[in-house]
Formats: sequence, C-alpha cells, structure tokens
Amino acid sequence: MSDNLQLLSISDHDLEQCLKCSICTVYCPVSGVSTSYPGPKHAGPDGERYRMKDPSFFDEKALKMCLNCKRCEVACPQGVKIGDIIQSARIKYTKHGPSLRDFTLANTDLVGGMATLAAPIANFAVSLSPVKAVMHSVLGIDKHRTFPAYASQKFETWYKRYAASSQKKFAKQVSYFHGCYVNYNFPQLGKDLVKVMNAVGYGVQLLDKEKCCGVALIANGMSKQAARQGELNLKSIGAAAKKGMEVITSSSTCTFTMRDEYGHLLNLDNKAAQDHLFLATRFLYQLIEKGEIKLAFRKDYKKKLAYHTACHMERMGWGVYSTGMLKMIPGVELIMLDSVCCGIAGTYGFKKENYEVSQKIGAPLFQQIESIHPDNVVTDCETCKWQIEMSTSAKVLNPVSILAEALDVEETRKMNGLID
Amino acid sequence: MKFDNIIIGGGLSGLTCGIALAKAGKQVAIVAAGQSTLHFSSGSLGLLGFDNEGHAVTNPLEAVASLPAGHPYKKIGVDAIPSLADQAITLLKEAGIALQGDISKNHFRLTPIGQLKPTWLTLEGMAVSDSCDILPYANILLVNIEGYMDFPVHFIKESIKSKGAIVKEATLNIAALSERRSSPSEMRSSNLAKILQNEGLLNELVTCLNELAREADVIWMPAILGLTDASVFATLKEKVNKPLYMVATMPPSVPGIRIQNMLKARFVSLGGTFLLGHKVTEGQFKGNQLISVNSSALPEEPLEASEFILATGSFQSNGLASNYEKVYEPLFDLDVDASAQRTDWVKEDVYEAQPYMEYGVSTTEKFQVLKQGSPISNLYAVGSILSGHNFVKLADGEGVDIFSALTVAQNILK
Repeated sequence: MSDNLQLLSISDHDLEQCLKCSICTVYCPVSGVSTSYPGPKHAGPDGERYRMKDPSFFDEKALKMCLNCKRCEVACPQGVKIGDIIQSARIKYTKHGPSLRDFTLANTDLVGGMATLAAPIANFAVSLSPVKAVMHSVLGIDKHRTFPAYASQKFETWYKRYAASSQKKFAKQVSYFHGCYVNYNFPQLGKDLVKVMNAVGYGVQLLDKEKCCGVALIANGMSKQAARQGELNLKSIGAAAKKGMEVITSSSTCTFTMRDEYGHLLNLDNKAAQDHLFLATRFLYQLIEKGEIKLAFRKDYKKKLAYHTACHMERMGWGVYSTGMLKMIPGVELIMLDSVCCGIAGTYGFKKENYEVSQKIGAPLFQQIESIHPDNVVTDCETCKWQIEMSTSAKVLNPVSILAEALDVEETRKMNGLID
Repeated sequence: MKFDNIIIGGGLSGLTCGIALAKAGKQVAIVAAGQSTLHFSSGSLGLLGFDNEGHAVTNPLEAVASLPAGHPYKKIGVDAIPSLADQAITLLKEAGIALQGDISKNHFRLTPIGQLKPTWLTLEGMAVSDSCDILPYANILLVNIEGYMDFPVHFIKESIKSKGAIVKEATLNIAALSERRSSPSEMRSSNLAKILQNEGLLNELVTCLNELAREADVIWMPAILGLTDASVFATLKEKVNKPLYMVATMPPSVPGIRIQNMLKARFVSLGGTFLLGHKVTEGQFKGNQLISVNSSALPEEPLEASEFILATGSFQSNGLASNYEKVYEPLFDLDVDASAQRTDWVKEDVYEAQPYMEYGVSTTEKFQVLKQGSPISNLYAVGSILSGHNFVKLADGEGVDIFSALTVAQNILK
C-alpha cells in the first residue's frame, strides 16, 4: 500500500517535484536581464498551482517572456519540466489568435515559399530602411534585425534537378528532413549534408512530404496549426522508417520540436518517430562507433572553431555528438563556448518588444566569441547562427558544413569501399 | 560512447574526482542530472568543525583521529589526510579558486544568519574570524541592497552585537538593483550578480559605500558578486576606501555557484566531457563489473567506461531515497547502511543529530560499492552518498567529498 501512495504523487510535467530551490533562476537568461519577468519558478510550478485553481491567474504578458530555451529544465536537480509547464499554460489559457506580425513570423513555410519565388526583390525590400521602419512600427518586427536572406532556388528544387537521380545508386539510403531554413534560406547546408552522406555510401532521399516542424507556431500561439503540421511530419517519418530509412536532420531545433515538443506540448504520439529521427552528427557518430563507416579528412585543413551549444541542443543532450564529430578532424582546434543562450530564441528576438532583452541575454556570449576570435563559430541551430552573425564579427557554420569542407572525399569513398 | 572513467554526479565530489582523473590524462565524462548542492554552499569547505560530542574543533588534523571507526576519514586513512589536503588546495588553486584557511587551525565562517561556524577553507573576500567569541573588527558597517530579502540583516546584526562589536546598518538604493523588486521572486543573489557585472553600476556602488563607511572599520555586504570568478569583487574592493568583505546569503548562493563554475571550467579545459541534464537511468552489469550506463537524454547510447564513480549525493540530491519501508539507493539498488526500522530513522527533536544523516551506500575499504553483498569492482562511491558521518553535526561534508574523491582517483590511477 505504501509504495502505491508515493507513486500516486506523480504530477503533470513533474510539477510536484519542485523543492523551491531557485536554481532555475540562476540559469534563466530572461530573469538575468529583465525586471518584469516573474522567473521560471514563479511562471512555472508556483504559478501553475494558482492556475489550476483559477485560470484567471494566467498572466499572458509575463509568460510570453519565456524564451522556451529549457535551460531551467537542464539545471533543475529534481527533473521538473519547468519550460513545459509554462508553454503548456500558454497553449491552454491563451484564448485569442495571433497578431499579423506573429502570424507572419511563425508561418515560415508560407512566407518562405512566397519569398523564394522573388528572392532578389524580397531580400532587397526587407533590407531597405523605409521597409524596415514600416515593419518596426506597423508589424512590430525590430528594425535592428536583418532578415536572413532568401535563396533564389529552394533546396528541394536543387535536389530534384541536380541530386535526386544520383542518389539512387547508393546501396544504403537515409531520408532528410531539411526544414524551412535549408529550403528557403540556406540550401548550401543541405548540399553539404548530401556531400557528406554520399561520401560514406548513403544516398539521401527527401521525405514524401514535409512541413515546418512548427516550433515558431507553438511559440506564437498557433498550436493547432503546429499539431496539423506535426501529424503530417510524423506520418512522413513513419513512412520513411517503414521503407527502412532513418530520418536525419541538420537543425537542433526542428529535431527537438519533433522528438520532444510534439509529445509534451502538442499531445501527438511521436514515440515511434523518436527512434528514427537523428541529427546528422548523431547518425554519423553512431555509425563510426559501430565501425560501419570511416571518415578521412584533408591534411591541409586547419581551423580554430568555437562551439556554441544551442539551448535545444543542450536540452536534448546531443551536443556531445556534434562536438565528438568535430574532435575527429585532426586540423581542428575546438574551444567550447560557455553554454548560455544567445538571446534570439527563434522568432522571439525579431519582435520589437524583445530586441533589447534579446541582445542583453546574448552579450556575454558575444563578448566571449570576440575574445576568442575563432575562424568559425559552430552551432547546430540556424536562429543562433543569425543572432551571432548579427551581433559579432564571426561567421557561423553548422557542424555538417564543417565536416563537408574538411572531408577528403576521395579518400573517404575509398575507405568505405565505394571506389578501389 | 566510450570513456576511461564516468562519474555520475557533477557536484563537489564528482568534479574533484573528474579533475584529478582528467589531469592524469584520462578521458572522463561527468553525467549530471541537474545542478548540484554547491548552489547552497556558503563558500566554505569544512574538514572537521565539531567532534562527536559537539565541541568546536580547533585542530581538525588532530581531531580526526578520535572519530568513530565507520567515518569515511577512517577508511581513507587518518595518516593520508595531510597529503590529501595539500592535493586539494593545489587542485582548487589550479582551478583559480583563491581560499583562506589553515589546516592546523580552524577559522570561523559566517552563516547567512550571522552564526559563526568552524571551518577549514573559505573563499577569499568572505568575512571570517579567528574566534567564535569575538570579531576582528570593532566597528562594522553592515550593508544591504534595498528590497533584497535573502540577507536577514536583523539576525546578522544581533550576532555581531553579541560579539561585542558596534554595528551600523545601511541600505543601498541603487535603481538598477532595486528595480528588480518589480518581480519580487527574482530579487535573487544570482540576478544581482549578473547586473553588477556592469562596470558603471559597480562605480555607483563604490560611491555609495565610500559615502556610508566614513566611521566604520570595515564594510560587510551580501555575497552578490562574482558568479564565474573573483574579478568583480576584486575590482570593487580595490576602489572602496575601507576593507570590504562579503557575507553569505540565503540560496541560491553566489560563492557556491562560483566554486561550481570554476571547477567545471577547469574540468572542461582539461578535456573532460560534462553532460548536464542527463539523468542516469540504468546500468548494465556483467559479473561483478558495471559495463555501461544509460542517460535519460541518450537512452539508446550505452556510455561505457573502465571505472565508474557514483557521486550522486545524499537524500537532497536523490543519491539516496526512502519510502515507507526502506532506505535505498535508487539508481542501481546498491546495498545501504541504514536501519531497516523506520522508527529508527529520525529523532523527534529536529535539532538533535538525525540518524538518517549517517545513512549511505555500503563500501569496501577502497570505496567500491556492494550489491547483494558482493562488491562491484569498478564502481566506486564518493562524497555525501557515503555512510558513517553526519555533515550537519560534524561540519565535515566538503572534506569527505574532496578526500574520498581524491582517494578514489588515486586508486583508479594506481
């Protein structure tokens, strides 16, 4: 009888495990710079007790300040899912729809699809001061922000034209969830991924269908749309797995959203998909560990790299795979940056009301980067890349791109038995 | 994923062990479920503050000999302690942590409510005294920040008075600090420390302190400076006209967080892998050996090592747990030294030494743990998960953490 009673004290997101120790506050990037944020403990487990009794205790303005970086959850010694408590409350208690600004920022697929059609015009337009001024005052997108440029050719278009046919010859195949960023803004990362996978004997396939993972929709109060897109993605991942293909990604945030947030926040059944969804660095690391593939690197490759652990990467605990891969490159000097938030948090830092907080959060990181002066900052998250490039002199690359540029393709293919 | 050594737990004992092993060239991973109890530390390290009868210890090196047989120091070997203490000081110094204290004579630290407690080492810059009866200053200015509630000035003031010193109280009203009060739950030491990294504000603080401290011999302020190193406090101290010291606050405690951050930075700079937010969920045993463990974040990735160190702490850190029937070790279900009778666990008077505080995992002479009566030859326990001592009663917690960690590291390196 005794055991059972203790087991019954399990609560949503482990709310009841909170000891009120305040360690989460120490690691909350917002609490450190903003005077109006009630902090993770108060916004999370403390506030939830009140909200459970009376929903009118829901303070939308305060809870909106949470970046959903999950650093509170990483720090919590008792395993309370503080970030999940806050985001769940936002989903549960927010009654109105998103603003036009939030709708625009969150609909990466819709906006990205339109913008790539007219990339030069779109890029030019959003870089103009008058346009920025209108976006700032009317839409509430901060004028200091530079929008990531849209590519003139989508990754999917490039893939179908130039890569698809050559992928079939590989005996082993993976599926690639490229995400919005690779598709609309930075197809080069997708091309780098194809290069690396091909060199170790894997063909790369696109999923039957993919939609934006929905991270920005969740953050901007459009969880129903996020759930619809999530269902479609889970179906595609399931279909790929059925064909014997694992699904790889090159974005920590998309991966985290699909692996963790789909279940925790959107109540989608993502258990089966979790086992088949890998960041490319994790996939490669495990193949190397099992002795199934080998990598050879260029002897003339020398770089000083500083690795930034993106918040969602920290929460997944997968930084060790990306840094593990980078450490395999003989010419790389790898410096670990302090694991702190860069301040952008997806669409958060683009909003006028958050700009100042966003830059204050990132300041210690920017300072550290400038003092190290690396050849590249490396991170698995595209929005961290934007923030760091907007705020420092560093050029930021994904670990997959580093692997692609350091790889000795011919030698790697030989070592993997692809050529004699 | 393969390492030479894996340490489960990232607090004082885990980090100490990790640094010793990494420095000797081992590939080491620390796997930590969350941040450690160093966040509640007042910035002092105790070796032995009180003897078994509750009397304050003057010379901890002499007093360890009279500890009962089950105490971890007895297993470490009383003779080994002076050399371990030297190693500890070197290790802390190499991590950049500057400390005051003498192993042959305890000094007294101030608790957040102003009590004087015997201890071995204290962070430079913290207020201490050589005696528990008098303070080294006749005229103290006790400063707090307006609206900061984790510094109970009244208690500290009463304590200072009881030691015969004159104390004047002052409250600083610095806008950038006090505006924190608009979110009262976040008016915390760590947030104040983050704000005070700004040099302009520090200068404002200097002006205020110099103005207030004209008649005082010394200024005492809450320990709200320096989460990552001692440089901010050093800058302030240099600019203030009177000697300046910090007094520990209620948690989260900046001095303890600083020790955590500096040890972790040292471990990482030695090539160590620190996996935070990874709760170890299970282990794979083969015969009398632990082969690998799995973490919550990497469930399908066995983390393999030749030796494992269990540094998961006591009840507060979930290194030990209890239910209505038993005290147990929740991770591997290891053998524990604990009474089977629930009525034995606690004494009714909360201020009495609580028996459960001495509970911990059973270990061999070399700190290998036991499972169903047999030692696990490559799984060692260090720190407060060890049985046989009550750190509240003896003020020996950090000594046990550090010395057991160094002893196990030596055993592994032999």
